[in-house]
Amino acid sequence: MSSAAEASKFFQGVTDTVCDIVERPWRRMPKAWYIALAISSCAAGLLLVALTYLVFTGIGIWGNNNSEGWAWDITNFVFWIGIGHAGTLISAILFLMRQKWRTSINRAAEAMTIFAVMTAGIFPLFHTGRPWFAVYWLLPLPNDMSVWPQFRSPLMWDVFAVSTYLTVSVLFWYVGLVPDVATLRDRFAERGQKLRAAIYGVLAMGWRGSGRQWHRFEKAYLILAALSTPLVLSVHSVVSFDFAVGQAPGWHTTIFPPYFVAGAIFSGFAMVLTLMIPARYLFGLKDIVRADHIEAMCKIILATGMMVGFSYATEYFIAWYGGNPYERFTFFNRAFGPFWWSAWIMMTCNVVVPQAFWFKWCRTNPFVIVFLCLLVNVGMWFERFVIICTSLTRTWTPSSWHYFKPTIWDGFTLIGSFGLFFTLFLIFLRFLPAVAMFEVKVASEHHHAGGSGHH
Amino acid sequence: MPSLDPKNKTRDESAPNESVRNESVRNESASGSGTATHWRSLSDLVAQAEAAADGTGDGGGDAAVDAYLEQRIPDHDELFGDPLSRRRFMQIMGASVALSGAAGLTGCRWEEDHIIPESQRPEDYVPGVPKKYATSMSLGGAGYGLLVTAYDGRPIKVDGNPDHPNTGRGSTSFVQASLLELYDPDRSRVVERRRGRKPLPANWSDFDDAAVAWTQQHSATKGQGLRVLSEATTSPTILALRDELLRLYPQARWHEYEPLSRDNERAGTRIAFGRALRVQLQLAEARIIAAFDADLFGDHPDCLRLARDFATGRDPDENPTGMNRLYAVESGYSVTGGSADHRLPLRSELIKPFLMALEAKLQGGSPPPASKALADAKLQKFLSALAGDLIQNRGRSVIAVGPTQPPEVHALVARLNGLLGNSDTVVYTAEPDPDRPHHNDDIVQLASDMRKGAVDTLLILGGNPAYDAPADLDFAGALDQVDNSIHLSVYSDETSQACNWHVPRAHYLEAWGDTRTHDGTVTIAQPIVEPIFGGRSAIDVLKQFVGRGEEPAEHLVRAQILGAMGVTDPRPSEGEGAQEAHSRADTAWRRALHDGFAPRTAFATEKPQVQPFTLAPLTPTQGEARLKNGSLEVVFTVNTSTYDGRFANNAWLQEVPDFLTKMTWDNAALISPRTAADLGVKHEQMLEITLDGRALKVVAYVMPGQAPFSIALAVGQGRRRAGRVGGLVEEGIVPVGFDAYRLRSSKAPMVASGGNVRGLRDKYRLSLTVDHYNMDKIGQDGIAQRIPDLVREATLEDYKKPGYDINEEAHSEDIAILSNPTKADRANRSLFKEPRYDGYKWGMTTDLSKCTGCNACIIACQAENNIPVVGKEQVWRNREMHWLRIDRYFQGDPDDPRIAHQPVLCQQCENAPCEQVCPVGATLHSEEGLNDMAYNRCVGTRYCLNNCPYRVRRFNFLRWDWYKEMDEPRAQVRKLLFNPDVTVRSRGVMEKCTFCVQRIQNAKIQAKNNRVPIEDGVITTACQDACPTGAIVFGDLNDRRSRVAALHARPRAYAMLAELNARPRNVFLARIRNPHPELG
Amino acid sequence: MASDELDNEVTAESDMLLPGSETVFYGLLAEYDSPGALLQAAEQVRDAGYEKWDCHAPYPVHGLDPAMGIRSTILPVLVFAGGITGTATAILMQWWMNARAWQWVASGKPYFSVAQQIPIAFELTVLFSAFTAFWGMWFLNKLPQVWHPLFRKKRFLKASSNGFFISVESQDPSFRRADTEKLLREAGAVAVEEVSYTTSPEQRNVPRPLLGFILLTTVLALVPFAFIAKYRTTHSDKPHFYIVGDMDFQQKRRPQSESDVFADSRADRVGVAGTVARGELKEDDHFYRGLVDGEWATTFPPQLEISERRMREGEERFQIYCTPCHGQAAAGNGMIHQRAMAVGAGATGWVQPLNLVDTTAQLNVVRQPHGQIFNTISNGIRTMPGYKSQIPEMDRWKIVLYLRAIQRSRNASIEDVPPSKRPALR
Repeated sequence: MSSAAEASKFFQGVTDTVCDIVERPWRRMPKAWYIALAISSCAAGLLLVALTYLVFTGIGIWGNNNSEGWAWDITNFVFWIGIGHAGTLISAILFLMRQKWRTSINRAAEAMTIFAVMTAGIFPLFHTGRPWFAVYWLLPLPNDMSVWPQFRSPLMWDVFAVSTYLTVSVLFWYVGLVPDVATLRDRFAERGQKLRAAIYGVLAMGWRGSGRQWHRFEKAYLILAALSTPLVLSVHSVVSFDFAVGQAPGWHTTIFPPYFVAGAIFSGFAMVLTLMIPARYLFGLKDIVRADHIEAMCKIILATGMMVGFSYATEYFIAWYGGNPYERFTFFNRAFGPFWWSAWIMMTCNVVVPQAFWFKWCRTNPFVIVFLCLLVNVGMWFERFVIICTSLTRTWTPSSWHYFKPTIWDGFTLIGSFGLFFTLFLIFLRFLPAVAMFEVKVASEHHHAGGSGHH
Repeated sequence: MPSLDPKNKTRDESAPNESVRNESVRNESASGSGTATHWRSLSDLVAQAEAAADGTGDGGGDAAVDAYLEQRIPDHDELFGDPLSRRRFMQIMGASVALSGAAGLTGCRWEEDHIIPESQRPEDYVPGVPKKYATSMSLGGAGYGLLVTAYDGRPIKVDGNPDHPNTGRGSTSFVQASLLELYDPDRSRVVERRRGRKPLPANWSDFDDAAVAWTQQHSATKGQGLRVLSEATTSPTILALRDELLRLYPQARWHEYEPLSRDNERAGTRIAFGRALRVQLQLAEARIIAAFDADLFGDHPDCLRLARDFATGRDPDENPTGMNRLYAVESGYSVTGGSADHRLPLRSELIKPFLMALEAKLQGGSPPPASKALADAKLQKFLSALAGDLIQNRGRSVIAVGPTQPPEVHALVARLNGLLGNSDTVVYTAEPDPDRPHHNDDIVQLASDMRKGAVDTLLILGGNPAYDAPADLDFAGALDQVDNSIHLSVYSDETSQACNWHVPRAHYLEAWGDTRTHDGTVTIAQPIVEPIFGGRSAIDVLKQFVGRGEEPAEHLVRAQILGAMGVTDPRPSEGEGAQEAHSRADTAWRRALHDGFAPRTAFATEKPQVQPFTLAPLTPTQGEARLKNGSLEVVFTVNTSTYDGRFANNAWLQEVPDFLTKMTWDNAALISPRTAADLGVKHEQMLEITLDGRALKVVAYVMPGQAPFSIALAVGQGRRRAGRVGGLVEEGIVPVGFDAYRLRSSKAPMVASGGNVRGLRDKYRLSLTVDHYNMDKIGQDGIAQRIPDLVREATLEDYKKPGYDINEEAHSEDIAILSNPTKADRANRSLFKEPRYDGYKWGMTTDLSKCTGCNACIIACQAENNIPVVGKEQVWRNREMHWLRIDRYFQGDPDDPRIAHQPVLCQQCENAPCEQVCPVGATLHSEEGLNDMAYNRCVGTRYCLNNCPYRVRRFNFLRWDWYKEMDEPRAQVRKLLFNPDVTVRSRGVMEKCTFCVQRIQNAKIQAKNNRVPIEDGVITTACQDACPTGAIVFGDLNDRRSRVAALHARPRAYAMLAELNARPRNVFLARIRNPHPELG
Repeated sequence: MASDELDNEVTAESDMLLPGSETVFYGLLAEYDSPGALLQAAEQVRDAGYEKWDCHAPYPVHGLDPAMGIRSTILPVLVFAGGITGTATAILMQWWMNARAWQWVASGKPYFSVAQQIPIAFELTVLFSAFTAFWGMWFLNKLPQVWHPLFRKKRFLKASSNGFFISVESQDPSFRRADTEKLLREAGAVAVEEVSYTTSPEQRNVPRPLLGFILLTTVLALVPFAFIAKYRTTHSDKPHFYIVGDMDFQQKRRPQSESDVFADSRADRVGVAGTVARGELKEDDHFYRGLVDGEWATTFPPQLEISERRMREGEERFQIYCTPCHGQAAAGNGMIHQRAMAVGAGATGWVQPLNLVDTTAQLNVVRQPHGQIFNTISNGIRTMPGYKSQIPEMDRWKIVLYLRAIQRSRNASIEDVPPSKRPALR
């Protein structure tokens, strides 16, 4: 029975480690967590202020103008949507590919997805001049004017894509959560912490881990994964249509969908690492989120980074080869015009920096990884900035050319969005199992299957 | 009427401004002006200074204010600045921005408003049906015949009077914007009285009593010490009253002063012909036109007719043979220079030697006095080409010279025109009161008399001498020597402040009056609305002084008009047949009022003989090609925004981009690139310009096409008491721009020599709507590459070749087809079947050959469509709201570039790219093919803006109704300005040109009621009405006989950016130039 | 040892028994120490032909489904159906909203094209499928079900972290207390427990805090409706609530609106006396004043075309403006007059409207020249007000024309009838 005992010890171990983050008393939460929460919630507050001022004063508080209808607002939107993608990718695609190492991080990654998409969702709404109408005129609701949305507009596609994406991600995430929440329920019940047991109990919906439940559960989980996979690819494609369908030189490109998706995954993984590496240290998840997992992700970053680089190359090549003078000018202007610096920051961070991951040392040294990932995120933000702002500053008629000048409020809004995102994530770490326990157990089953005769 | 009592006024203004004002000053010091100011606000500063000066002398106050204004930092914040932390407009719109949230100002409840119908409606009045009145406006002594649209009896639009023999259709930006002045809350509403500078309570009856006292006093002294200083006027009534006044008071004297005087021309003709005459140019007949420092289409009093006549000679389709050729020789780019075939940048002072050389060439004889300046090969080539053309077109050429040139140059030009036998093209007519002294001499005379104490009572009718009189006279100071100084003006301005009395003047739309247009046609000004603030006209005040106070102005004017028409108008009472005569006179008078002018009253033409005269020898600088710093030329030019400063409080004009510099809310010292390099001066760098002892700090604008060593300074900015828009120092509102009058002396009021330039360390940020020249290399190359596509041009030679199509030059077959409106109609280049428009199909053409870039259309559009003003900071942030903009492109050598103008408005594309991307369908196509905006549906995603290739969409980034007082009693008047037929857009909504859809709808309703189809030309857009040259044509493309359809079929018609297959409904007619073969 | 374990349990249970409560026997719960053991046991239980039984594991143990003999779920079918519904919904929605209900040309593009519909069609397909998968799974699993007898077993709490259990219900037909326990033990159970639960009235009724919570939320949920009800039923003199004013309240001044600028607080200004607007010159005395060199015009102005059509138009105007006083037949007995008589205004100096067709009256309109009648309509006479502010000149002339017609017909003699028509009159 040793193997059996070992097995149950292992399972118990997993459960304890993961649940500990939720169960431990406040004083045992690491200082770093408190500090991080303090900072990020302040930033989130800043976002609240910025948005209130925005609603009561107008888009005029931003740098947008009659040449750049969109600027940082949509830049942030695309950036955050991109961040979201890694989560779904890890939880869905890697699941379909039966990548066991994903189990250690998929829960956190999915949470990240949801929070990122929530953050992103702020911008399309608040970038409108009259959000109080946009909030429901963009939905196909019957009204006494009997007017309807205009479905030829990519923005309508956005509305559907993003909201679908958020919904499906939430469902997927919640389904995965239920068995683990059930675990928490039982542990609290064991200690007689009635209230928390009750709350988690409601969330767990009476999950009993019965064979028949598990059977349907696995099927549903598989289906959701299968649905999310094309969804995640579609969402950023649709987002990229906002530009690809537009006419502005530098926007009107067919390469955008794959290009955006690659970029999204790229930035997303970078963000996952940025979040998980510290968390792993703070909450002693080292044995669960193992070094080889992190290394695997670094490799993915390297791969996607090169895809992005390839996209840039193609873009420039077509701009030259296509022979459209306006297109050609736009790209020349990107690289050497007034906004040359942003283009080169983008190039460096997204194409050059990831190359470091060829070296094992870089892939294994957590500090290096976090640093590089931060650079990658900066780079990806600038990618969107370059596409949106530098294209719009110099479009068709030179008389409307203009140098874009952001304002403090642009800055506040950007910082604030990070604040909101991190706040949500930190709260999630505290109150929900940050690692999918049951999946870890499944993944490690065959090590510990113990005296079972079956194969 | 609100707050007629001055105490009220001051109270309800000071209170709300307090906080904002502090705000503003904090910003001043915060945003890095080197020395921090210790004053709480500029107004306090003034108060202190005046207290110090014990209410008398103004020196202290001004000095302190100067000190303050000197340290004025650029009017903007650093890159990451809060866009709302700006001065002027925050002071004005601050509250509204703060309050106008989602809830607006409605307090969460539906706003109640009351309907007040007329119980007894007058005949011919239907509420909401506009009426048109003929009237006239006078600007610098020149009259304009106008047609004013009144909505419910409120003027909402001013246009040229199409029936008027001289003005005709079309107008200038000043005429258009004069409407805003009528509804300006800053207009003075009360009689002001001061002792020293201390205000005393006063009202109209006080003034009337005082007037009686003065008349008695001076009838005793035979008018000894009574002086009248009038702005230039041609009003027969005023002149009649003047004569009456001088009869009553023989010792009195009448002075006339105009800062931008054209009297050099009078003086010139006096030299040439022995008497003052007026030059009437007949450009329609002219084949060769040579303009020397003469802005015929810009500041010329006859600019509308001149532009129209010029344009008739510019249409290569309607008269291909008779196309004229325009040469311009000028120091700074003018509207005329912009539309010239050949332009030579030349220092103003060199015009004289140039003309002398020309004369020599024409006579083919004696070489002119050597001036090294003329040695330049390019110049010589130009000169001989010009001379050749002039000789070839003997009798069909025009040589014109501008008011900045000294009298002898005018005389010289008269001689040249005589030499060329241009008796039909350059016609001379009598000049109204030819004997009056030159404006400049007159003001000098008056000032010295005042200093001598020879003036007891000075009645100033309009004008603003304390601000715009030559600086060396210190007119404001001189005013202190006068016991009773009375200033009649629309605003309580700098002069009013220096006078004992200020009398609010009625706006020209509020009072009876008359003017004479440049050709002399007597034009009637009938009031459209009763004086809103109870002002009085110059006639009203004058008749008080001649003791006819009771007589209504209407009668005086009527008498003059009928007199001019030679109609006798006896009182009905007096004797036989008087009744009939009177009623006949009545009919004539009513007819004249209806038409707006007295027919056949133009000046009689004369055939004067040129007398021999000799020219003064050249000055040393005139001999020099290159000048060194210290002897530079400074030219004082008309301000295209404020004229001579009188429109400084006119936000429309302040914000309209100068036709050339595209500068708003400022004036600057224009310096040629080469000179700037020599002096080491950068664009937007602060300079100190010194001119015999007087210094001015002003920003540099490096201007391509500016003559080397010549600095152009537009006067008319830097007003300290213009109002809340133009600058009101006592309320902490910093003046707009810089006061160039401070450099101007009575010795050289127009062109001064010996200017010295010193570059300062401060940078200053100008708000330009187009900023090309100072752009990175890549950008400039990109533009250079695009201009030929965007603004197409061809020479007459090419154009006349058979089968010529401007679109052939396009770099692909498809583009060639698409950019040709008629071909594109037939060839459906879309993947899908394009919709057809079988009913009305509105279209427009813009003729680039005719557009002079005069800006009238921009302001006309602004007035018609309730377009807001956004202020300097927001223009700098590229948020100006003009639906119609005029693109200006430079081509070629920065020291002598060519200009291309292109008015761009919504092109009303048939496949409008903006429509497809709107998620809520707020902009969609009407069945007439118009690209309509549903403001109420717009949520403001701004996607349409991003997708518009022409960038003509405008977004309301903030709440733009920039008078926070909009919601205060004193500014209620501003609301009367709005065109009730057009929605006033709210914040967060996209807007753009609609082809004046409200006019289209009204016309359709009319046509429906009368059961007739809409005739071609019945519907005109606001820009079309305003255009003096008729460059813009609007109509129904399905109507084969319509003009617009014909123009669309012209071989030079092209669609802009056609390759996008947007199928614009507005097409441009390529600019056809008529260059001299040798100059190419 | 196992058995006395059992007994303890039972006694423990029985101690807790409360009055009025009964104990229900649910079934047996057996624990196994490893997934392997669980699988073997499951196979045995399956083979023993039990139906109402189940396994419980902290994770989906590989191979448990065959071991338990679970048939594959129909969830995928449902999801597919959901997906199809999504696609259909999307296409129909876009077609109806943009090509049917709200047809507008945008960028000259067709109202309906498949290409433009793909993105949303795809998204809705995914969305609907996802929902079906999610809810379908819970439905088939008969969840949520917060309470379950097994949860009352302390031991069972391990099931979600590292315990492996088999539960067999007493309801199962082949359930025999002893045999079943034996079977479970032989399958290698480390422990077998009897699961039973007691139902007491106290447990049956809802716990107070929960009750309070539900009550509170319901009340709060009702508050808005209460307000709506109030505002629908009560009256208020305040204008109604209106949050977003945006462009509904304009700075511009519409006709007949207010303005504080002027003393009479009207925004409308009537023109200045003595001015002449375009189209108001009115030089033609005949047309505008009914005068021909100083005398009343006896002819109609040339602008008026004399025709049946114009006369009918005149009739229309007459009906609108004249009949109230002068009556349908212009006999001066219109509604107003009759009313005046009815209320006895005759006594108080009511002047009867003129009979316009009476040739005998001392004020004989029939004899009046056209111009004079026109003038009367324009400026009024006696107590009749002028109508020039309401009726344009041309219409006034048409009225005169019509009036002339009535007068002719009223005072017609047989001679006026063309001979051909006369027989018809007899």
